[in-house]
Amino acid sequence: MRAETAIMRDTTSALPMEMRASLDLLFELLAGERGVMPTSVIGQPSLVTALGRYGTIESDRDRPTFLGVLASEISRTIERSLPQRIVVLGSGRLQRVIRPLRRSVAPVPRVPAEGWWERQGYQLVRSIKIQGIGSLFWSSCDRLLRRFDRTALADRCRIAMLRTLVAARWSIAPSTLCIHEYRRAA
Amino acid sequence: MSALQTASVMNAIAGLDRWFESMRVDWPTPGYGGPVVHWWNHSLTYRGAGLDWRYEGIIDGYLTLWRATDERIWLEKAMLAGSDLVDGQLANGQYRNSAFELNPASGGTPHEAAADVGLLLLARELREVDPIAGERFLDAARRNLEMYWFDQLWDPPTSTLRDGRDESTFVPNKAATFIDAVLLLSEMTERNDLIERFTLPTAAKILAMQVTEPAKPPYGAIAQNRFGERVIDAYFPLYIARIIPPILRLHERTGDPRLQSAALAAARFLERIRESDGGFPQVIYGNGKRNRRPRWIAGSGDILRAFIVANQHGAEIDLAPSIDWLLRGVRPDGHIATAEGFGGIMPLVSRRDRFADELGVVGWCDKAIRALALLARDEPSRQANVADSVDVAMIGHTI
Repeated sequence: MRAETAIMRDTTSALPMEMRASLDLLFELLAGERGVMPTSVIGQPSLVTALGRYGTIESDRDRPTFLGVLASEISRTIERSLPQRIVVLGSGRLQRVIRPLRRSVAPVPRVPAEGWWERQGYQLVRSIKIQGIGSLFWSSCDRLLRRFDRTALADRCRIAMLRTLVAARWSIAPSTLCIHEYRRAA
Repeated sequence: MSALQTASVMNAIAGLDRWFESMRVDWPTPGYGGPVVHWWNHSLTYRGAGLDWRYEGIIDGYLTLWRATDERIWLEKAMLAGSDLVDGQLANGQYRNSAFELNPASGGTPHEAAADVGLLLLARELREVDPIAGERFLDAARRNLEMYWFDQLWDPPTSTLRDGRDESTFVPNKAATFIDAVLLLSEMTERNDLIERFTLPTAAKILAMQVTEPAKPPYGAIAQNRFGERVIDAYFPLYIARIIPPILRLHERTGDPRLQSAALAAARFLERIRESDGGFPQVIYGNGKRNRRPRWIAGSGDILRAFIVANQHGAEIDLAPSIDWLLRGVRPDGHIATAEGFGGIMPLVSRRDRFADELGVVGWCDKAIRALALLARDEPSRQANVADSVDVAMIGHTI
């Protein structure tokens, strides 16, 4: 059984749940007063549009946000404007594992490795992981129980899946999506 | 109602009105904002205006108070809410951020139809008082119904209201909200063809999902939804309650006795499962299992309203336990608590959701003011009491 509110496919809510959670977290990270996000958003048009629905994006080249782009795109921006702060949304290690199993996995590239960022002169200051092992476990229980007509339990598992979308903070914990914030090293 | 209950109802209305004023925001468009908590999902990050089903209850509640008191301030509040919807309407007829717990997004169901109900009630009220303003609200609702519901969600070959452009899902409570909106549009535009084309086939599909065998425990209940032909064997009291008033209104319009019997059977099912403290389980599954976490408080206004409407059709349901249940959620700042039991949905995992019980959510509190305003209207000594409540409500307002 799905959520009460149904949404047409071309809106933000049609994005996979983990991507919506990522946008929620990005908005929390970026937004200031009255929902204004001082950042330049670069990335997949559907994601840029979806983030724009949360509030107002006020262009700030010193604080770009990359939504699912390749390292080469990030590199070009760094060369052009040497921003002080960069926020990146990309896929995590788990996405490669679950992609064959799920239709709705958002195809976003991985965040470049730490060595790449060091060479560019940036250091990681914050990392948020979305949809880790816990959430996937509850999601599997939901599907399995629904298959055996245990709707009451399945409903609870679905809610648990939603509530555990933000994954554990351990550095080695895998996830399907991650948000990294980097700052320019002095 | 007892004198104490009457006084409490008036205080609750005044408190809700005060609290609604405090929930007005001006981004991304003017309207009622704030976080949303729901059984399925929360929308805690997006806290801007939500042009969703909250407008149905706010507009109808204020209009009921306007009729009960003749105080123009209530009509002006309803018009302000209507203007939020008109100003937030998109070129495709949908409303901006109409998806409640899934905001920010447009095209939410049943939310856009519920917003249309609010606009159409307002337009009907303004026919005599301010026809030019009324026409503006009517136009917005008509645009939404025609461009979105009739053109995109309605499936002509099967005469079915779908829950999305490419889905075979049918959800009775959403379809009932659609019926409500179409009935009002038909009345306002004198288009009887809309009844035949949209409301009757929709009502038939809703009734087909009702449990009609008296021996079965959920006798009278209406299943939550179906995917194709597969009916989901779950019964949500709140959503069953939302079906009752539109079906009874359709009965009043068509005179079909089957509609009245079905709606009253649904109301009696709700009366049977009401718990001793006046609350309702969140869902009852086909096997009789109850999930009581969470039990709606503010949102149970829609159940109380369904009982009030059913009583007008001879149901004789005791309202007192439901009124008490709703009023126990009243909080000092005027809002009514959302629910009881969010923290217990899933052991350990849901503990962090305990905050959701106490949160004030405009899209739940609107259901409370809508029902409470009906009680205020129907109270014999209403003139003095409602006038008093108006005085209380004025405190802190800029008029």
